[in-house]
This record gives sequence, structure tokens and C-alpha cells, in this order.
Amino acid sequence: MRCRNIVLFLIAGGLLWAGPSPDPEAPYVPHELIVKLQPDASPVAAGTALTAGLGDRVTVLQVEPTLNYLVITFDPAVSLREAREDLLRDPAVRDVSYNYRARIHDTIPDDPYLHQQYALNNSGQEFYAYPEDEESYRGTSGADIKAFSAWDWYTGSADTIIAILDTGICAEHEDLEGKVVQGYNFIEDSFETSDDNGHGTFVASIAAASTHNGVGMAGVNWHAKLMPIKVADSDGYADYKSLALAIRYAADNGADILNISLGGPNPSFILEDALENALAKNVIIVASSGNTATNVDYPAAYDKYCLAVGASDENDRIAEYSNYGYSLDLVAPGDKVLGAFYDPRLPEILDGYALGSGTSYAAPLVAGTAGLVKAYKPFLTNSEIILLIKYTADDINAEYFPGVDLYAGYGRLNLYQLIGPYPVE
Amino acid sequence: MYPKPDRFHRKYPGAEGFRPGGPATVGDSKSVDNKGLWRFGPERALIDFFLVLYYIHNMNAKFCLVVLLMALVSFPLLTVDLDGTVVLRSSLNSIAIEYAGAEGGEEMTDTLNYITMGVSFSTDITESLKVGIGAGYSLKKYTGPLYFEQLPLSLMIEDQSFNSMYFSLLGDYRFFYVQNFSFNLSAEVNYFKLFEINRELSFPVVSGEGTVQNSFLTGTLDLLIKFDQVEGLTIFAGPELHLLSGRFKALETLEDLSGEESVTFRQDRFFALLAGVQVEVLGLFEVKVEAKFLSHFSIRGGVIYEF
Repeated sequence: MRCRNIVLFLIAGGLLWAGPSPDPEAPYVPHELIVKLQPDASPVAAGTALTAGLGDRVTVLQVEPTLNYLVITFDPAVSLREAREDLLRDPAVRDVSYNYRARIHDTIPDDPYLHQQYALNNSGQEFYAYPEDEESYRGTSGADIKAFSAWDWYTGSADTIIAILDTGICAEHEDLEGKVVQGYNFIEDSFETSDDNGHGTFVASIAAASTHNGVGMAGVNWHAKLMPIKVADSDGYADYKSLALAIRYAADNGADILNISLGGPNPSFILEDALENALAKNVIIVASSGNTATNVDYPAAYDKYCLAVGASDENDRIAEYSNYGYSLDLVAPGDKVLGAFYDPRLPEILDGYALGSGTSYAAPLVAGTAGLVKAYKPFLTNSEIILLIKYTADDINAEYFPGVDLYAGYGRLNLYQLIGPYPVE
Repeated sequence: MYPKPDRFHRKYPGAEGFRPGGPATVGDSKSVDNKGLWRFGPERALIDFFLVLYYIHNMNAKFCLVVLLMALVSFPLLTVDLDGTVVLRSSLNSIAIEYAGAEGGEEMTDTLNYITMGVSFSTDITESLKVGIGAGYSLKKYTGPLYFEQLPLSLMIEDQSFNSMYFSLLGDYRFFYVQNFSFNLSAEVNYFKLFEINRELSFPVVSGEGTVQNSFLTGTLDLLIKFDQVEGLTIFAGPELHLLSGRFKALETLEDLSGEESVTFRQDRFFALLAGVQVEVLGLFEVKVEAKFLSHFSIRGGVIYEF
């Protein structure tokens, strides 16, 4: 018999044999075939006979006891295709398969605080306001924007620029390093755009924090750049003239998306003209609806130009403070969402993270999403992208208000429905 | 000498008795005028074929296929001056294909497997030249995934079947023969009719539809050496030039948004080797089996009736 080189492992337990170091890109495990025997064949007897027939081409043979299959490992010089054909000719063999590789259908980044971000993927996991916090929260599985599934298809482009019209951005925060491009400070009329409040940094990180870098949190758009446009002072107040100038500046200086997580109750032609100008330059404008549980603030209320975003929570309920009205387009998770924490009074802390609540933190999820879609499908106009974002939203309050309604608009943002393919069959 | 000419010019026994407008026999009470009566010939077959094509595009495809089959089967009964061959044929094919995006994007490969079942009719134009037409039904399957991302919402197909009718044009030219060998040049063009699948795109507020269409064309040019030593048995082999060109077209509408994307494909190798055998059974009909390798894998079989 030519089976002296064969090691026959009969595994009593349910152990799976660990094969040669796998190439993750290979479609199947190299040098390995799985043999299904005829129902009446004894695995041990058939395995011994088969190995005798295959000779020294076989290096390892095992019986997988749970599945009752033979797992054969061949010498690397052996053609698996020929070996498979040889095996198929054996009457004891019913079928032979390569040991194909499979992979999970979710792209999960390695950012350590990812589990805190129910907004991106909510499996009903427990999350905390701070790591040492005793109070924890647990949401409803599926009350998220389906980012993990969507990232399997696209994670963004470094050519996308999201302008954050806010209190500035702390570019030195560990999860924003290298992400911030030059912006402008309309408070001091300078290029100094550091954050003297913390709100802008928090907002920016939700849209496009450095992701899959083993640090901190994940942004919805992994690779987009952030343009800090400082329009609000350290107390968080802005004026419409500065805001209008900021909108024009961002649109004229290469921003693809504008995130405006601020607003006021009054309309003004100053804002409207600036928004019209930005829209004409194919910029997508995303604005938060406001946190006063009243009508949507401006500029979000300019329905013709802006995507007005309200906030939902970890259970897919509309946040009680979220502004509403006919001009509300959709909602996104904005309650207890994780963001990069920066306190200008503690400038040395550049690795902080915290939970925050407000429509301010729902808008950047939509802004990051708009940036993803714009880079993934550059042939779409901004108006088409705005329509798609609205059309593909999940109607989370359909039980009470089916269809478009005053409180959730078209529904809660669903990134996967925008990015993922629809099987036609 | 032409090898076994009777196999190419056999007439249907007694067929003249069925011929509409045939010559009047003694004892007829009146003579029959042939002019203007129903006649069949290659030109009529061609006209009928294109008529059926027209109907298929405008009417019920399966009904028209039945009409075509009936017409082809009834030819031997209705004609005496038409020598030809009717073949019931089927094939199993597997071809490696390459996709190329409409914008010359990244190339992807896939495998197209298809089965055909149909009928063809050929007639002798000269002693050396045969031409024919055919039609049938095809079951096609593309194994790998294909994504249409140039649409507002991406569509995909995977392991998807597209079943449709196909139509063929056939030609065979025997350009040289010596003793038991003959050398033939055969050509065949198959058009696989467009078939589409749909998916409803349904969202809470809006709805739309995604459609994927598929059609393709194959062409073969065979240089065959036929060996005809034994009565009722012909062995043939030779090289083949095989071409395939096809297209997927994806269309999408969603409320006031719409998009369209085309993806073309072709096979990655063009030359094949072909070998087969044709056996006469009971002196009534013949069975032909052939296989093709290299550019694609194909097994074909046919039952041939000559008249």
C-alpha cells in the first residue's frame, strides 16, 4: 500500500481541522477537498480506501464526525481539479467540493468605541454615557442607519469635502487628525478655525471621524475630509449674515456637502439667497431641525434647498425635543449618540468621547451619508441624492402616521437602502 | 463522385400526391391551374420565418413557435420540389465570458451556461451549398454576481436565469471532397432574443421598478473534415471560430428618478475544437452528436430527417 505517508486522523470530538495558513483572498482553502460519501459508505473504510487510491498525493485525511464528510488535504503540487475528478470516479463518493471561503456581509471597523454607536448598528447592545458611568442604555435592535451593511459596498472617498458650519473643529483630536482641510473663521475673519466650544468637533466626528484606525469612534463617512467653517462663537451663537457668508464660502471653495447644525426661528432672504447659490453649485445642504419641539428652524425650514433632519432615539422613537413640521424631511439617530469630545477649557484632552443628544448630532449622519452617495454615484445631481435619501428612509412611525408626516418626515435614514444593491430575480 | 448523394436529395415517398396544385391526373373532370395556388420553396420558408419573427415581436411568442414548428414539420408533406433537412436539436453549453462596463470600467469574468432546444430547417441550394434557418427555446444562466451601480439605486443579479427564444441562420458549404473525405465550411449565427426580469422597488412613500434585460448573439465558423467510410456513419472534426457578443441593460424608475446602464460581454477565447459523429438509424433518420472544447464547452445532439 502506498499510504505510508498518510496520517489518518479520526477525530472523536467536534474539532475542525486547522489547515494551512489561509490566504483570505483565495476563493477556497488551498489544497483541500471535502468528500461526501454515499449513504451506505463507512467514512473510515472509505477514507482508507480512498487514500490508498490517491497515493502519496494526500498529506492529511480526516473524518469530520459531525458532518460525516472526509476532509482531504493534498500535496501543494497536486492539481485540486484533477484530484477532484479522480475522487468523483470512485463509486463510494457521492460528491466532492472545494472548501470555499465565506465572509461576513458586514464591514465592521475596529474603532474601540464602536459598540457605543447604536446609530450606526443597533443590535440592542448596552452602551454608556461614559466608560465608568453606572447608567447604561439599551436600544431596540435594528433602530439604526444600517451602516455596517452599507459599508460592505462603500465607505467613502477622500475627495469628498464636508463643510461643518459650526463652532470650528479641533483638528488635533486623535480621531480627526489629518481629516481637516483649511476652512474659514467668520467670527474673527481669519483662517483660524479651532473649536472654542466643542460642538463643531462633536458634529464633525459623527460625519467623518477617522474610521477603522483602531482609535476612538467611527464616522459614517470613513474617508471624507472636513472643512471647518466657524460661524458660531464660543457660546454657540451665530448671526445670519455670517451664516450666509459661510454658506457661500463653503460652496465656492469646493465643499460637496454642507452640514449646518444650528438655526433660528426666523426666515431671511440673506439665508435663502446663500442657500440658492450653494444649491446651484451642486452642493448638498443638510441642516438640523432644532431642539425646541416646535416648528423647524431656519435654514432647515427652507425645504427647497435643505434637507431638514430631526432626531430619533435608540428605540426608533422621535426625540421629544426634535422640531417638526411640513419642511421636516427625515430623522436620524440624534439622541445619545457618540461623538468626539473636546472642551476648550481642557485643551490637553484630545482623546475624549461622549454621548450627546440633539438634532445637531442627527444632521451629520445625513451629511456623511450624502457624501458617501455623492462619491459612490457621481453621476447623480444633488437634487437626485436628496430625493433618494428621503425615498429610502424607513417609516419608523408608520403605525401612527403612515407615509410622510410632520414628526419624522419620510422616516429614519437608512444608509444601506441607499448604497446596497437590490437583487433582481 | 459525390459521396452518397441520396442522403442529400431524398424525396418524401408519395409526397407528390399531396401537392396542392399538382399536375392533373387522367380522369380529372377539369384541369387544375397551377398559377396562383399554394407553393412552397426556400423563398417561402424564408418569408414565413421572417413573418413568424415579426409575430413573435408583436404577439404571443409561444404560439408563434408552435406555428413555426408546424410549418417546418409540414413542409415534407406539402412539397415535392423542396429538398432539405429538418433537425430537432438541443445543446448544452458553458462559456467563460468577460464583462466590460459601459464606461470601460473594471473587467469581470463570469460563466454563461445555456441549454437550447429547437428545430432547424435546411435546404440544398446547390449540390455543395446548404442554407437553413432555425428557432427554439433557450435556458440561460449567468453564475456570478453582476452589479449595476450607474443607477440611482444599485441593482444586482446573481446566479440568474434568462430564458428566451433563439433564432438561427445556418450555412454549410462542401468545398472539396475526395474518396470518403469531404471538407466543409459551416457557419451558424444564433440570436438569443431579449429577455427581461423585473423587481419592484417599494419604499414607504414611493415605489418604482428595476429591470434587467439580456440578449446575445453567437456566431460560429467551422472547418470540418468529414469521414464517410462506413454506410450510415459519418465522423467529423475540425477547428471552430466561435464568437459571442451580448449585453445586459438595466433600467430603473423610482418616482421621478430614472436611470439606465448597459454592460456588454464577450467570450475570452475564440478558437475551439469540434468533433462528432452522425449515425443513420433504421434508414429513416439520423442522429448527430458533437462536442466542442477550448473556447467553450458544448455538447450538441440532433435528430435529422432528410427529404
